[in-house]
Parts: sequence; C-alpha cells; structure tokens
Amino acid sequence: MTIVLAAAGLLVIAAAVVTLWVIGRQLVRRTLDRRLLKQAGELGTLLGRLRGDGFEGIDKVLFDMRDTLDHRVIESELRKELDLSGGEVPRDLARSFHLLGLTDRYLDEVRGAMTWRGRARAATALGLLGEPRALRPLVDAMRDPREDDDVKLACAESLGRLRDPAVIAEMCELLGDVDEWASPRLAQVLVAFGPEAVDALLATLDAAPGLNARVWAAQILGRIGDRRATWPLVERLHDRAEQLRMSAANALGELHDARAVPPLIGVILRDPVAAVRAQAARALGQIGDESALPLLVASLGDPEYWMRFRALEAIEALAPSDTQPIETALGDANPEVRRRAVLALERLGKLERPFDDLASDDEMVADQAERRLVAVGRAGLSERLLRALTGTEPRVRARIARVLGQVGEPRHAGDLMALLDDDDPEVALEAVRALGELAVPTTAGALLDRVRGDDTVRDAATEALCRFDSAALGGHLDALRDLVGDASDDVRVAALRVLGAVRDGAATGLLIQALTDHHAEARLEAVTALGARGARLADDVAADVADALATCMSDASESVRVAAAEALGDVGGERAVDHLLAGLPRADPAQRDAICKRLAELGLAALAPALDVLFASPDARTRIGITWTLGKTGDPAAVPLLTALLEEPDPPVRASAAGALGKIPTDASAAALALALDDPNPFVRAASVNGLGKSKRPAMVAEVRRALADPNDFVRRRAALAVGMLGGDDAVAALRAVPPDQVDPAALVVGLGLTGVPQAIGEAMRRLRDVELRRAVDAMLDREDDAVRAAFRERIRPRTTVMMAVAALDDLGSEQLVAEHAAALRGAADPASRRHAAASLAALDDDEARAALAQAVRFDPDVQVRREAIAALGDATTALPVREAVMVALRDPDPTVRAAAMRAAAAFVAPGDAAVPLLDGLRAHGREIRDAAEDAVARVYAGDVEAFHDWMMGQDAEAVLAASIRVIGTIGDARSLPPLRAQLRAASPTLRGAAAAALARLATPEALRAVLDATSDPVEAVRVAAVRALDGATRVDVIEQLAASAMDPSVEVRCALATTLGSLASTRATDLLAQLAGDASARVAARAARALLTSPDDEGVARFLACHRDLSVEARVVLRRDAGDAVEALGRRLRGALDARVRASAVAALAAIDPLAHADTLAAGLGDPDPAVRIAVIDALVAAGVDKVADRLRAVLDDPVADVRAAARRALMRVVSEPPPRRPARAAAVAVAMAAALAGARRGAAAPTMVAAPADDAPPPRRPAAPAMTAAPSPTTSRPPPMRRSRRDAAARRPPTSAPRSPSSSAKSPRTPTTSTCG
Amino acid sequence: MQRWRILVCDDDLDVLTELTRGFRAAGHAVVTARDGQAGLAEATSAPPDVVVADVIMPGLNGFQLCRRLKADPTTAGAPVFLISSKVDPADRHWAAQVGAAELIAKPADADALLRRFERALGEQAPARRTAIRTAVQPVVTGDGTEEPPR
Repeated sequence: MTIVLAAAGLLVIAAAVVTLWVIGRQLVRRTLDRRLLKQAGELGTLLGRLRGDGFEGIDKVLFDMRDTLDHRVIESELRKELDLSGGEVPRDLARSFHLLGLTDRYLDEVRGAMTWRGRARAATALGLLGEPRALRPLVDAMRDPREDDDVKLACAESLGRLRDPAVIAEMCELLGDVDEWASPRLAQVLVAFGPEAVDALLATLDAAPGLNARVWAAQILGRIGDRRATWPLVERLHDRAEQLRMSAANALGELHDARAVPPLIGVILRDPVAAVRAQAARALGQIGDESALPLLVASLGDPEYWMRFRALEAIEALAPSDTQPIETALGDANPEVRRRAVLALERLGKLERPFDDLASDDEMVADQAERRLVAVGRAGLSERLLRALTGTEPRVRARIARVLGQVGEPRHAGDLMALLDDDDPEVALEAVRALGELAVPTTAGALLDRVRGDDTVRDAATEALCRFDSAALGGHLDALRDLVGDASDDVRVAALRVLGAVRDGAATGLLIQALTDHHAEARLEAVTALGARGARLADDVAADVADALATCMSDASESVRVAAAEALGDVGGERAVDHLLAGLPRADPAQRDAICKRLAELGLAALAPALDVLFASPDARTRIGITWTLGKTGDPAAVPLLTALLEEPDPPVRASAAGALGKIPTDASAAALALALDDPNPFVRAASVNGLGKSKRPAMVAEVRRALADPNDFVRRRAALAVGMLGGDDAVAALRAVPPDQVDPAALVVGLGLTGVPQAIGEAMRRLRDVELRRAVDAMLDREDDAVRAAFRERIRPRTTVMMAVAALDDLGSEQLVAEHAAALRGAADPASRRHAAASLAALDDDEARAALAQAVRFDPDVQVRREAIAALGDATTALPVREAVMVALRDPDPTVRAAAMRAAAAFVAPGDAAVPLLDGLRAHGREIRDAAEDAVARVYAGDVEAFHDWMMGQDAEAVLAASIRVIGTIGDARSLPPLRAQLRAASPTLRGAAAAALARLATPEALRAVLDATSDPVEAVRVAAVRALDGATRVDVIEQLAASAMDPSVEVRCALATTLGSLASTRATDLLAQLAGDASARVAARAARALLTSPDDEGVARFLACHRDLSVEARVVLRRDAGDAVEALGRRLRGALDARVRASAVAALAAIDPLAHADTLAAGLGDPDPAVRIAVIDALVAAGVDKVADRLRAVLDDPVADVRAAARRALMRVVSEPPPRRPARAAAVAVAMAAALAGARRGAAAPTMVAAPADDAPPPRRPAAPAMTAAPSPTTSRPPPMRRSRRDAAARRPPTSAPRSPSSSAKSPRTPTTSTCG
Repeated sequence: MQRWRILVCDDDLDVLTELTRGFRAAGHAVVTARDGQAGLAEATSAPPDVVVADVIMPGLNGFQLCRRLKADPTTAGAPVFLISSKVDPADRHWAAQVGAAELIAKPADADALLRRFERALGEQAPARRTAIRTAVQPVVTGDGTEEPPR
C-alpha cells in the first residue's frame, strides 16, 4: 500500500513537472513570439518609412539595430519589402541583402536547401535581387531532371528577371524538355528577351534534335514578332512534323508579314492535315492580306469543320465588303460553324439589315432577307426572330412566321399557335404553314379545326397535317371521321388526304368506305391514300385493300382508274397482280401505261404469265408498252425475248425493243443492238445507237462508229453522243475522224466532251469558243435526258479534289471552263487532277491556258504533270512566259521534260549562243534527250546549216560528231555534201557509217554515188549502214550497183541488202531478192523471202510463191518466226487488193508461211467477193486443221455460191465433229425466244402460273405457247451472241418480204422446235 | 626583223604559255585569249598580223572564229593558223572551207609556226601589211609588251 501510494505520488510529481515544463516552454515561446512580433512591427514600420526614400540609409539603420533585432525578423521584413518592390528593387535595399550575407545564403540555398520551398524562395529572391552570380545555379536547377517543378518555375522567372543574354542559348536548349510547368515560363522569358533571343531561337528552330524545342522556338519567334524569322518559319511550313507546321503557321500569323501569304496559301491548298490548314487560314486572317480572300472563301467548302471555322475567322478579320460567303456558311452542316458565321456577321454589322429588309416592298429583297434569317435561326439566334414578332407590321410577322417554320425548332410551336388567331389572315395562314413544318403533335387539333375554314386555310391546314406522323394524328381519329362525313366535298377531300397519313386500321377502313364516295376527287384521295400504304399492309389486309381498289379499276373517272392501277402496284401481292393483269386487256392507254409501269416494277417474274396474252394483243401500242416495260425491268432474262422482238415487222415495236435492250446492258443485248444497226428503219437504228451508248462497253465503239456515216442525220447525231458516252481513246479517234459537215457540230462537241478524255475535252472547249455553236450545244443538252446532260457537264469540267471557288456551270462559257481547268492545274492537290487539267488545256490557243501550262512546267513538283504540261505547250511558244518556262525546262531533272523542252525551244531559238542548251543536248548520254536535241538542232539550223557545220567541226567527241552528222542528214541541205563526203574518209567507222546514212538523205546523185562508194568500205558496219541508207532509193543504177553487195562476204550486209531491196518497187529489185532467197545463209534467204512479201511490187508475192519451195528448212523456220510485218502486208493485200489474183496469192503466201498461226488473218478472206479466194481460204484453213474458226465456217454455209458452200461443208466435216445445224425460221425463233424467256422467268418465280385464258370473245393468240415450254433451249439462247454480219448479209435481209427459210431435216435435229411457223 | 602582232587563242594554258614564250623570244608581240569569243573581241579591237587558234575551244571554236575573222574586213587580212589534235581529212577540208591558212597538228612548235607565218605573210602584198601597221599603232608599255592603242 505504501509503495503504491509512493508510486502514485511520484507520478503526480512527474506529471506536474512535465506540465510545468510544457507550460513554461509555451510561455517562453509566446514571449519570444511576442517579442519577435514586436520587433517585426517596429522594423516593418521603419522600413515602411524608408520605402518612400528608396531605402536610403537602410544599411545604417540595420547596423544600429543589429543587436536588438532578431536576424529572422530582419530577413523576414526585408523579404517582404523585396516582394513588394515587384521587380523594381531599390539599390539600397538590394545592397542590404548583400551586406547581411543573405544573398550569399540564397546562392547556397537555391541548390542546397533541404526543402523545395526553401530552394524556390531562394531562387525567387535571387531573381528579384538581380544577382548575376545566380545565373549558373538557376540554370543548373532548370537542367536538373530531379528538381521540383515549382523550383524550376521560380528559377525560370528569376532567369527572366536577370535578363542576361548569356543564358539565352541555354534556355533554348532547355526548350527541348517536355515540362508543362517550366516550358511555358521559359517561353515567356525568351519572349521577354525580344530580338536578342532571335538568333538563338532560329538556330533552335533549324537544328534542335527534338521536335519539342523546335515547336517552342517557332511559337516564341512568333510572339517576339521579329521578321527575321519569316523565311525560316516559311521553310518549316513543309516540315514533316505537323505540330511544327502548325506552330510555324501560327507564328507567321503573329508576324503579320505579307511575304508569308503565298506560302500559307500553298499550305491551305496542299497540306493533308486539316489542323495545319486551319492554322494557315487563321494566320492569313491575322496578316490581313486581301489576296488570300478567294482561297479562304473556297475553304468554306473544306470537308473538315475546323478548317471552315478558321476560314470564317480569317474572313471576318479581312472584313470583306461582300459577306455572301459568310451568309452561305449560315447553312453549314456543323452547328459550330453556323454559330461562328452568325457571330462574324454580327461583328461585321450585317445582321441588322435582314430584319430591316423584311419590311421591304421588293419581294426579292424580302425573300433574300428571309433566307438569311432562316440561316440565322438555324444557327441558334431564333430569339431575335421572336422578339421581332411583336410590334411589327403584319407583313413582317407573316414572314417571320414563315421563317420560324423553316428554322424548324419545335419550341416555337407555342408562338406560332398564338398567331393562328391573328387579326391578319395572312399571318394566320403563315402560322398554319409553319406549324406544318414543325409538325408538333400538340398542334394537330388546332390545325384540324382549320380544315373547315376557308379554302386557303383549309388547303394550308391539310398540307400541314399531312406532315404529321401517324401517331400524332391517330389520336384525332374521331375528328377525322367527322370530317370525312362532312357535307362539303372539299372538307371530305381534305380529311381523306390527312387520313392517308394515319396508319391505323380504322383509318384504312374509312378510306375503303370512301372509295364509294360520290365525289370523284374524294375517291381519288382514298385510292391514293390506300396505295400509299403500300407494302406495309399485312397480307390479309392487303388482299382486302386490293379487292377494294380493283373496283376502282373501272371507275368512271380516268384519274381514279389510273390511280387505282398505281395503287394496286404499290400494294403489291398476288391479289393485286391478278387484278392488274385482269385489267390490262380492257385498260385505256393511260391506265395501261400505269399497269405496265407497275408490273415492270414488280419484275419479269410477275410479267411472265401475261406475256402470251400481251403479245397477242392486236394493239401495237400494247406490244410497244410491254416491250418498253420489259426493258424497264432491267432483268437480263428479258434479253432473248427483246432480241427476238428486233425481228418484228413493225418498226415501232423494233424501236421499242432496241430501246428496251438499251436499258439492260449485257453482252447479249449489246450484240443484238449491234446487229440492229443495219435495220432499214432509221428510228430503230437510232434507238440501237442510243442503247449501245448506254451499254458501258467501250469495245462497242467499233460498231457504233459505223453509224456516224449513217444516211440519216438523226442517227448520225445520236451516234456522236453514243460514241462519246462509251468514251475512251477509240471514241475520240472516231469522233475526230468524222469529215466536216457529216455530223451536226453541236453533237460532235457534246460527244467529245462526254468521252472524258482530256484531249477531247480540250478540243471541245476549243470548239465552244464559237458563240453560235455554244448556243446550239446548250439547246441540244436541254433536250437530252438528265443522265446525258449531267454526264457532259461533269466530264467537261476539271477533275479536282481541292476546294476551289468553282461556280456552278450554268452555261458553257468557254472562258469559264478554261479558267477552271487552269485553276485546277495551278492549285489541285491531287497530281492526277493537275495532269488531267494540263491535257485538257493542250488543244487551246488561249493565253490563260498557256500561262497556266508554263507555270506548271516551271513549278509543279510532280514530274508527270510537268511532262504533260510541256507536251501540251507543243510549239505554242510565242509568249514570253512560255519561252521562259521552256528555257527553265531545258534544265529539268527529268529527261522526258528536257527532251520536250528541246523540241519546244526549237520553235524560237535562233542559231548561236541561244542554241547552246540544245547543242549541249547532243552530248547527252540518254537516248531520249539526244534524239530530241537532234530534232531540235536540225530545226534551228535548217536555215543556217553552214553555221552548224562550223560548230560540228569544232567537236572532238565521236558521239557528238555522229549526232551532228545525223542532224545534217535531217536538215538535208545540199551544201552539206562536202563535209559529209569528207566524213566518209574519217578514221572512225562510226562516223563513216553516219555520214553514209546522212548522204543518202540528201538524195542527190553525187550523194548517192558517195553512199555507193561506202558499200565497199573495209568495215562491215559501214557497208551495212551504206546499204541500209539506200532504202527507198529507186534509181536503176543504184539498184544495179547494189547488186554487187549480193556477193558481199558478210551475212549482215546481205541481210541489209535484202531489206533495202524489199523497199524498192522494181522488177530488178524483185529479181535480186529472188536470187537472195537462194542464199546459203538461212537468215539471208528468209529475209529476202520476207522482203518479197512486203515489197511494193505486186510481183513480189508471186516470186515468193515460186521460190518458197526451194527455201531450206532453216530458212522457213526463220521466216515463220520473223514474218510479222510480212503477214500484216499480206493481210492488207487480202483485204484491200483490187485484183483477185493478188488476193489469192496473198492467201497462198499466208498458207505457205504458217496457216495455223495466221488463221485469223486468213479467215478475213472468207468474206471475199471472189469465190475462188474464199475457196482458197477454206482449203488453207482445212489444210491446217483449224477448228477455232468453225463458227466462221458455219457462216459461210449461207454463201450464195454452191461451190463455196460445199467447200465449207467439207471443211467443217473435217475440223468439227458435229454436222452443221440448219437455221430455224425467223418467226419460230421469236416463239422460241419467248419460251425461253418464260422458262427463265418461271425458274425465278415461286409458283409459275399461266394467265387465265383470254375471254371467249377475245381474238385467238397469234402464236401458240405451252408446248414450247418443254422444248430444249433454243439455239438462239444457247449460242454465243451472233457475230456481226457483213453488209452483204444485211442488204439481203432488208426487204421485209423475204421468205423464211424452210426447215429441213428438222426431225433429226434436237435443236429444231416442232412448233409450226407463224404467219 | 619584222615584228608581228600575233594573237594566240587556246583554252589550254600550257599551250598558250609555251607559244607565247616562243613568239616573244623571237621578238614578236603577243596577245592571248582563252576562248574564241575573247579572241574575236581582241582581234576586232586591235587587228593582229597573224592569228593562231586552237580548233576545240569552249564557246566559239577555231573554225567559227576563223570564219568570222575572214568575214570582217578589218581582220580578214591576217592569216589564221589552226592547231588541233584532230586532223582528219574532214578537218583539213573544213579548215580550207573556213579560210584558214593551215591546219596544224598538235603539239605545235613555236619556231615551226613562225616559219609558216613567214611563208604566209611573205606572200601578202607589202602595202597591205603596211596599211595594217599604220592603221593601228601599238603602244609600247614598260615591260616591253605592246598594247593596242586606246
């Protein structure tokens, strides 16, 4: 117990001691704090007094108080004063820090303090004090990756205060660090340095390894505003890094340097990144150069909304007088852009005007104001519109109501409802219409009430209610029922129209009841409404509706009957189709058209059951209609039937069939239309031409171009358009080959433009310069269908993806077209578009075109575009800019461009110094340039060949001399004879050979003698060159002297001799060739044999045939291998020689060379007018066992000459295993084709059904149908498309009374149908 | 001994130096040009007594230079000797065509050339030579070379 008490006592004592100690400590601290506070207060007061005197004498004060003041108080108060100084630290105050040793301490603490706060405070103090010794520690702290961000921030600020230029470079290096806190401060510091920092920043921009530093450098340079940075920043506009490009663009905007405008424009045109383009646009606005305005306007069409946004900013900054582009942007798809447009207009003071214009008496002005205000409303400023509703005249209120309707904001419905009771009927009417635009469900009732109003209001209310959805109106069915039962016809009609929008079953019932309304218009509304329900009806309901509509098929009103047919088509389904088909025979023309159209939409499968009946109709219009309908189906299964219909005796039916085939582009339909080009009726031919034009088969150009020479002018015009629609180079060639006055010039222009080929477009533009022709083309296009018109207007314009301010092509003004193509060449981002534009401008003799081409030659970065442009310039080099461009192009890195430039330069360069670049081209290693240089130099020196001689003789390089000799040969001046003869004595065989060739081109007797002398040159190559050079020389003595070369020991020389002799139309030459054909060398013999075949002398082929037998095997092999041009020559003889014997010999020669390889060439002779030639061809083909021409042989089975037919039969029997079939009668072919079509359609249909037999009083069908269903596929459908028949056959077909061929052996042939032929 | 004013045109500095040294050692005045155009300009401003020109030169070659000299009455009287490393028959022919006195193969020796000059100039009418001399009086400069009169 005692111990416990003692322990307790001790504890109490200890606690008391601790408590007393703590209390004592607190008391001491408080006392100390109070003391410090008091000192701080005193010092602070003192410093405050000294502050006004710039702290003069502060050091004395502090010295006096050093013993009485705590050092912490002194530092604290001094720091307060330092902070209060705001950077303008009085000298005495700063010195006091130094005297007290605080500055030195801060220098230590900035890197050595334990806490970040201590380091940051030290850094800040050093900056405020402007201590130069702080530079290094501050920079070291900035560089230290482990240093705290806040410390770095303080260091950056202090460095900025120090303003020591020595630190600029280091700070620029620090820009490379990605530090979101320090980097902006560093940037601020560098900006503060101003122009002093520019050099270091430019170096950073150019060479810093990290992107971050370069981006910062660009931004800082922009802020500094020193224009020394302009061009370096312009260069960065093409940097690979998009961030740097953006920064550069931004900085250029801040520099406000107009020199940057063109490069910034280039960025907008070509930079692939939208953000960069947007920045460039912004910069252009900041610079304020109006030359950028057109491009900025064009940028309002950029696909990226951000670009459009920035473009608007820039346009606003330029404050243009014409704000139409900004107003157009009010309709932008992006709401941000629309709002920005409104803001821009507001800032430019352009928004008030529309409100004022609403009250204008001028309707156009008021309409325009309305449109603007609609855009404003859609951009979100509709409150202004609502404010304008009050206190304005009725006319303005009505217009605002209209605007609100078009703005389409549902929240305005209430305001519009209030206007329904407006005193002014016009305002109320507009409110009704506007409510229709908004279609807010809660307003339906109010609108229904107005259906019983006056006519105008009723119509407006009805229109408005029809915009409501079914759910909104469904709640007002009772009201609608009342209206449907109204005594007024007009009210019932209106109600029925509204009822059509209600999809409720009860509404359908009401509509069906209304089908018996006594008022035709009401019945019409009901029918239309039921049809509008279309395929959404359930099957059972659809059947009922179809049955109800069927009763209207025989309505007293034609409109109702037609509408019933259309409605049945819309409803669809089996029942509806049955009703349509049932109604067809009794239908009047308008109803029939409607039935056919709807059946076409249902497809061929739906039509199939009716075809027999329909084609049995005696009414040609019915057959025409169904033919047209078959085409409208677009079903390839209809092609065989339509093809058969091309054989109809009735021209309108054939024309319809041709038109229908044109709507089904397949190979079969194209082949059928090609045959129909020979139809005797011009409308059929025209329809065939039209159809082929739509076939999308460029190979058909070969067929359609025949129609360009059609005897009928209408057909020729259609052919021009069709050829153009097919497009391609063949089409262009066909149109260009048309003789003048053969085809309507307007049609030719349209055809050229439709091809889409650039050269043709250029040609079309050139022709459109003629004002009268332009009007004619406009008139023609107005009559054409939309597809042709649109295709022309699209294809004749440049293809470009750049957003340019391209106006709609309202007319075909050639200047506008040229300007568009020139602009595309200058500014399209896509090189393909620029190439297309260059090629299009080629045909134009136009200054703007040439200027654009010259610019492209000089500056376009794409080599293909430069090639196209220089080629387009051609010889049009009179203008100075063009010449300059050509001279620049002479040094283009691309050889093709240089070569073209040389040829162009030859048109204006004079002999002498100006020709040096061309003369240098003769030294080029590249063949292309050397050839171009030779051509060009020859042109330039053609008038002063002696000056060229002088130049040439001063050259020592063999290649240059050889090229120069060739140039002399090209010039062909007789004065060149002496130097060329001298070159024949040159040491170099190359030069001697070139001289021989050049002398031959002089073609004078002395020159030829010199060449003949060269045929005795000791060097083979020279002899060969000399012999070849005499190619085409026709002098007898030359040929005689050439004969000596037949004994030349060199095979090459003898081969060259054979080739040369082959070019001479001379009996002696032919004799020599026959002699050479017996040469020991197979090559020589084969060459001589080939030369005989290609000789212009007709005897050559005969001599060949005579000596062919004696050719060695090796020679024959060589001949077979190298007979290309000989075969072509023989083919030409076979097709075009007037003498049948010549053609026959060509056949024999082809057969002798290789009948199998040249079977196609031989087969052309199957159409020869001479039977002996045809037989010879057949025998040649048979001898070769050629089976691939079996089809062509079959065509010969119709030959009028019996011997030919027999030969063909024999040939077929030998090469083909099957006997040749007989052709079915024409009429039977129609039935067979129909059957095939039906079979095809039925295969696609679910349950094929035949149409019910016609009524008893109907005329019997002209052609039987059912048995044909089981027949095998007809030859018409199983054979490939019939080949094009010769004109001979077409002429035989033309008389419509030609008797059909009688079928024979039909029982044996599985392909012959057993049906009887039609009458 | 006659002192001639000799124009030497050659783009090869070694040849130019060699010939100039040789001609000056023989006591003649020498004017040089590194290409045909410069030679033409020199000859036109101060017609020489004789011209030696390389054939292969940049700009105007020797043939072109010769033809132009012969076309100008003030320079037509001076014989033109062409030197070349290429002396094919064609070149000789052409040298004659342009009116050169001779085409000489390189390397051309100064003394040999002087002998040819002697022959060529000796064939010319003395009056004409005198006329040339009196028409253009050279100015002797301090270093012994002659310069054309201003």
